[in-house]
Amino acid sequence: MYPHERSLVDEMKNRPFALIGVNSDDNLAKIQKIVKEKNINWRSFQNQPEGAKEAISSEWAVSGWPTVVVIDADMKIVYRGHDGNAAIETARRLVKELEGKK
Amino acid sequence: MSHWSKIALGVVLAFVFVGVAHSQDDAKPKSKAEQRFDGIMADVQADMKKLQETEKKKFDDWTAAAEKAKSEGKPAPDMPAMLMGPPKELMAKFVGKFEVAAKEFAGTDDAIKFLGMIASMGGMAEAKDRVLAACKTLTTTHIKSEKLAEALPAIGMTSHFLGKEETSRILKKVEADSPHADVQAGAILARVDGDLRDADVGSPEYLAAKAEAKRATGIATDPDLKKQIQRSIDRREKLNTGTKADDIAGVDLNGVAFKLSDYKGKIIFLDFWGDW
Repeated sequence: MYPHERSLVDEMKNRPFALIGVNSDDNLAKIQKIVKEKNINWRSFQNQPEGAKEAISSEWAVSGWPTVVVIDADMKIVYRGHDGNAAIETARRLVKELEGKK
Repeated sequence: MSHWSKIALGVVLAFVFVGVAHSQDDAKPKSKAEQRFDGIMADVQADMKKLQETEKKKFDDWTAAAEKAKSEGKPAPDMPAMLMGPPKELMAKFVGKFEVAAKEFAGTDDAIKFLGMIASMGGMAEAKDRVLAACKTLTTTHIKSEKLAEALPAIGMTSHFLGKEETSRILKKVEADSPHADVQAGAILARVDGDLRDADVGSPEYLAAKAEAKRATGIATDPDLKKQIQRSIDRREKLNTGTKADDIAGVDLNGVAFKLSDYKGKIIFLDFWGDW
């Protein structure tokens, strides 16, 4: 179900890249099971853990799923949108540039 | 492809579930209209769940077949066509249920909720005339009601298929004819919310939407509504491309605390996802 993300994580292994999820399922047990079953190989925040006043998606004004935000090494936002392929291309380009600098 | 299309269906489901969860929040005894609403939503939810299960099975069967083929060194079968959303016939059926209920409560404030659902679901049913009829009732019969505010976001959403011009015309009429400041402010917000959210910051569309939203904060009397409008402006500008990302301090799915800035120095692909 998550071939895009999984293959991106594999492709970026040992490179200056991190795929971080913000998971908005409210059933934690269910999603933990899915993480195991579907080999989800990236770390995720809980969008709104118990007791949290506001969801991360709400803080970030996310109104459609999926939304991807690509952030560079200085924590600057380079891409924000719903186009998974555009986000992946942006991330690939930035990782290459960053590797070139080192 | 299938991943994104499943999410598309998921968004619709999430939207339906939000409606149900919201109506169950109230602890006090439910009015006849609320019970009627919950009943329809339960029917909708059951139909959507059935649909989602069928789709999931289709995808899981294909995944299994593809894995089997791979292990046998054979070419993988073609992926089955996945639904991008609920079929319009199903949505039309839902719209019909809300129309019946809207008639039962015709003329009372209770009808507003049902009419709003026709407006928000009608697009997926490609039922333009029925949506226009619902909007017309809202902006004539219910124009003096304070409760009209509840249906404004639904009217705003119709711009996706009625076109921005038509939806703007309806909402401008609400702004002009409603005697309530918060309904007027809500009508402005519903009209510009799409551009405020999706237009590029700095573009003429965005700047026009922002100016209108600012005007709405001046009109609104409800402090929560004022705050809501102001925040939708602030957030968009704060988290736009080219600006610095806010740090996130949260917990992962195992309950372990971590921060987004733990990964500073790397390229971060922040993926808002859910398994729907």
